[in-house]
Amino acid sequence: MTPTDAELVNRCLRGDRDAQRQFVQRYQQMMFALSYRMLGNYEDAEDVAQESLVRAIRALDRWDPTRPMKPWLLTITANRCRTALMKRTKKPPPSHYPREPGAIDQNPGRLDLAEELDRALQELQPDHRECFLLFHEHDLNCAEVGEVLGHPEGTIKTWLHRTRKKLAEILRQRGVVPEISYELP
Amino acid sequence: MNCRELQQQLERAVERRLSPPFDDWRDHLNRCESCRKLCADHQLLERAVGEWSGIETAPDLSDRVLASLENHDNVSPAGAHHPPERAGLFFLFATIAAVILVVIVMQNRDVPDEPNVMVKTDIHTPPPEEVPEVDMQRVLDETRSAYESLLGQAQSTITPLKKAVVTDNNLSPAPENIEKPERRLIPRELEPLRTEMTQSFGFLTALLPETGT
Repeated sequence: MTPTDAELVNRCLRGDRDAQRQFVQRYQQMMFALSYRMLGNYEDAEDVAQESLVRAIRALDRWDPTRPMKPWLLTITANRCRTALMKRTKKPPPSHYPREPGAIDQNPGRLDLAEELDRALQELQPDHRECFLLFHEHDLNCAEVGEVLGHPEGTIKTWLHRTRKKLAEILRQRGVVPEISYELP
Repeated sequence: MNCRELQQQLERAVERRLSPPFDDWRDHLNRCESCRKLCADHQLLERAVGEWSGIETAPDLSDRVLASLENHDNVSPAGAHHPPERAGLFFLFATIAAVILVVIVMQNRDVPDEPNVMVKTDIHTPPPEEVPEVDMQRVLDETRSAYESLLGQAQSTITPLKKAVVTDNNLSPAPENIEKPERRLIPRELEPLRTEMTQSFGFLTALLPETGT
């Protein structure tokens, strides 16, 4: 039977190594995905995900069991991503999305639309990128995104719609033509 | 239904993760290109997000995280896990202790009782030089004496010249009684000298003897 977050955390706090491993395996993909799409680089994303997981496990005693684990972990990861992005301003940025083996799920039938979206995201300012990712990829609602980013829900809604409009513009500029699928008379 | 209403409904649908009611908007979409573009962009983004697939993490990520945690625990004394707030308190107390230590050390240093500043108190200012009082009578006497001496020297220099002039004019040796013309000539010869002396010692003009013929 899969333990709940609270049970897992209690065991982790007692120093249970198996529980810690379970905890990491449960959340590593989510934290790595946010890091990767925020930073656009596989190695940097791995480092940030690792650091975020270590920090989260060390700070588990501060987690409020009455609140969901996911936004709390995403907040830690987002903070680490912002720190990494600030450090990056002192160095030349890495190339956008180098094709790492195994970085993206192999899906031979899929179009390049997702990859175009990834590239377009890199052209956004970090706050707006985070907002879009937390809402669309990690399924947080606007209030939760606001908690993670430290902004009111109204601001998040404004950012979300502005970001969607901007992304559509970028995709159009890249030659990605939208298809109208709803039926018109 | 107008464009603003359609946009607000579309945004609400996005926020609530609902499918937009395109059928309800059909009449408006048929005549509004701007809103058709808005809906097309929405569908494009939804499709792109839908094609996002999971990202595989490195297979050893969990091992690295656990190793990092173990290293941290091994470094900590007795394997204790220090929450971040306790670490913060430790650094706070350590900082305060360091400041106190520095203050104590600074207070116990051999500091001279008085600052090492030289105050020069024996500055000697010389008294103003006394200007001796000028005895004008004495100056006048000395000047008159000097002038007379100069005048005498001039006369002794010019006299032989006059004798020579007289001798050349008469083509004969100068007579012995040359005193009279000589006395007349000498003051004329001295006229330039007198003028020069007047220019240089104008204030002494009153002392000069009258030139006579």
